[in-house]
Amino acid sequence: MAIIAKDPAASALCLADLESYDSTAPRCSGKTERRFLCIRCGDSKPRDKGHRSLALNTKTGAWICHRCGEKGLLKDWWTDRAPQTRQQKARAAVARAFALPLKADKTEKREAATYHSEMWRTSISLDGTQGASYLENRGIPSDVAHEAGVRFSSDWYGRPAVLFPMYDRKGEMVAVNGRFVDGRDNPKTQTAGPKSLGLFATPGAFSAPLVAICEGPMDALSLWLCGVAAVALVGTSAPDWLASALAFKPALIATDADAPGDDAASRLTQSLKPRGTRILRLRPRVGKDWNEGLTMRGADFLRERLSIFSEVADDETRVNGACDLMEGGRREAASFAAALVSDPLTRELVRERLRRSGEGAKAERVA
Amino acid sequence: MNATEPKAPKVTLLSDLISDFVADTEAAATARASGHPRGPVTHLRDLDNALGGYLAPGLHILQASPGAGKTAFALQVAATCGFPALFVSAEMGLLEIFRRLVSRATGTFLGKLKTGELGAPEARRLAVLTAEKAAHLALMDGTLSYATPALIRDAAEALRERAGAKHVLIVLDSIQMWARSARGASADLLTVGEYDLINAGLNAAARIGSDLACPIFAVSHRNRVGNKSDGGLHASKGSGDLEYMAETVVDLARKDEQPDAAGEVEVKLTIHKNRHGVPGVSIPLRFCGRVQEFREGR
Repeated sequence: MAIIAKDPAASALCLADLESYDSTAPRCSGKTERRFLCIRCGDSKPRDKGHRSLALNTKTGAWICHRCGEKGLLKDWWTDRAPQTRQQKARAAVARAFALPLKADKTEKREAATYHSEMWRTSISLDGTQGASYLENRGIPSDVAHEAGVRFSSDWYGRPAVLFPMYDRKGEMVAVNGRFVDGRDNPKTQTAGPKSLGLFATPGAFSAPLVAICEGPMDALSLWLCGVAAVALVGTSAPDWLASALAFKPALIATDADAPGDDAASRLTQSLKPRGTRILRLRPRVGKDWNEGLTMRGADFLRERLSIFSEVADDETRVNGACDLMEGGRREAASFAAALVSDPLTRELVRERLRRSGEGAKAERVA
Repeated sequence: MNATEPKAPKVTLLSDLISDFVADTEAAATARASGHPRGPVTHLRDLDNALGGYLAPGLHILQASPGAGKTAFALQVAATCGFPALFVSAEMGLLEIFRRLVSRATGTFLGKLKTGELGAPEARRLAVLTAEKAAHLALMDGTLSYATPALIRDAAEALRERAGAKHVLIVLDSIQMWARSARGASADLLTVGEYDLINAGLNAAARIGSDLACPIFAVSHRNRVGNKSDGGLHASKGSGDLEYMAETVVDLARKDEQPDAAGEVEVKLTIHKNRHGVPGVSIPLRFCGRVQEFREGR
């Protein structure tokens, strides 16, 4: 893989870079979009069609990787600009500083979102299907998946797959993510409809006192099995509306324990925090993701670990959990758990204890 | 209402406006009959009546000399407006603002909250009470970094949705300091004059109000001439657009130098510009600095 420096000028790409990195990328004549393997993040992924996450607009030269989120303009489309005077620069800076971006109009994509519905209509309930066995093997009881709206299709792009519906903020289905269950991994999943408009959510996720954001629907179901309401991005990019849907609420960022997961967590933090969302990065400690943790260690292990974040946890559990976390030196998690305590006076007492223990620890360090 | 594509100018015949006009009148009548205001209010009856019953969507300017109680007035409006409110502070830290809110909401002397007379349990009780009383008030700290218009709009919109309310009030304290804080966003802005920044800030504030169909209550410094002549329509510092763009311009002028036995001073509130009622109206108020509260002076 080409090593690209972080310096913007040095790291700018040209079409030849993309074509040499992914020499078999289709030409797509007549279309404005070409897909490539991402030169920035694609080295650990299979080199196949399903992993061509970099989209290039062949008219404008703009590119974006839907996995790592990097974007730019190919050098081939760069044009010389007349040097700006100081006054022009200042005027442009004022315009940027006070800009109020228009919210993107997704009408076109929304119209495109309807074509998956026919495929969804032909899907069947999970009961007794290959999909149910697949889910059971991965630690998810089929009744739990059924309750979350998961279905099965024996012919999802020609292969059997478990189907996860993806909804927009109004609760309208905008896409369907299919996880193939025939054992072939090329590709593992296929989504019908514009998944950037929606996400997979466990029942009542947005009305729950706390919601976890994870990457895959299997992770969301794993967390839900342990009592934590969850939404799955089906990737690492969140729909535009997620930040405002979670404003002033607590959220766990439970993306995968790998570099793309950490990058996604950082991007989510940047978009959620300014909207008053209380955030805790909850990185899976066993396995790469929550479903791996579930299959490796079982539901009881995860339930115990996540008990303070469970929907059914009472104040006593949360207070005790916060104190345990504090004693374990995990102050950020303890502070987050304390904020979940529903009784305001108790909550403030726990926070005060946290503050005092922090001051004590600081004094000890100074001594 | 969400901002999407830029709106094209609307051309319409009067006959096509009749149904909108009737619907608006009906909404006003319903609000009048039910006693539920159509939007955020100041809870100062005479002022609300003079402003047409509520703070209409758009920009409202509150100007006064230093120390006249601009922030206290704006905080009182934000906390009691009956709708969710976002208070963007570019002048005062969040803790100091919260202290003032606690003082007003619980009737505790502001000095007492600072001197350490209260123990932690009492302070906690008062703070919890205040947070419960103003459950839909959020503070945005613009003192350390620049609160961009997009952030303000998104946070206010989210606040409105969280409360399931039709309206939201945004308070900018102050428009001058907020606009100047944009200098922190880019080195290219360091040389930009205050006039340009305030004009850009005003336009951005007006666009936020238009996008969310909500009132923006902007605290404004007085210019030096305004301070000497005790206010007036053109007394806001920085740009003439302040009074031209605003729905209302309200001026606070402190009359007494020393507080009376109850700790109150007389403050004259004058409405210099009013698109929703009669301009030039003066309303006497009493301001108690000890508990950060304005009340009607009659």
